[in-house]
Amino acid sequence: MAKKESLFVVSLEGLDLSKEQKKRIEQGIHDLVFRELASVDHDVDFKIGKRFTGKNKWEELWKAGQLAGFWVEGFPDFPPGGPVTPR
Amino acid sequence: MKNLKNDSLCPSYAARPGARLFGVVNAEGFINYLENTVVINETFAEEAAKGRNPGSRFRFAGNCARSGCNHWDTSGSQCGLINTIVELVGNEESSGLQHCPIRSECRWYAQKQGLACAQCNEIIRNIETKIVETG
Repeated sequence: MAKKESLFVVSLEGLDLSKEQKKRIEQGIHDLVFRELASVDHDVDFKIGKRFTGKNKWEELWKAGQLAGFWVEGFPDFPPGGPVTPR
Repeated sequence: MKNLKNDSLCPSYAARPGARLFGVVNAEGFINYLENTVVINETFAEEAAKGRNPGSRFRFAGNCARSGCNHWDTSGSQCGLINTIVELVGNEESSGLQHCPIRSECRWYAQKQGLACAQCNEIIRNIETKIVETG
């Protein structure tokens, strides 16, 4: 059977562990896993942004900004009075 | 529209303890859906806060707040966010759905079915978008 490389099993069966020890081990494993998981970052803002290149009219960017708080590099402030068509 | 249960999950939830991690943004900028959700704890939230915005790197689900959320459309008693996203992203529904560990409980899926899934893969909470091409 192929090994599942992202599936981790730690068996301490047979050891005479107290309830507190088991609790600490479980907590420690959780903390370790969560710390590692929380650091995952593929840093793909650039690629995500490219997907909007077909829809990059001001009006659409404006909508996007209102929707999800987009920040457009080079354009820190949206023009007063609403979106305009860039030249 | 399918039955909208009161306990539906919002797939655009914040990285706070108790939230269910269900996706990770991959190198292509799309979402890798986990086989099963992972309920995050304080440790995850604290560690994630040290790096880039967790909302730019992960997708979380949590209980839909319904009328307690700014996105709630009170007139239609539904989530207004997914309606806007469908309009904004505009992806067509595909013939096959990708695996998703929260689909059966998802508010967006309950409202828009596969059409919601077609947009979901491109949604990142509070992303900071850098537009490098114009025209």
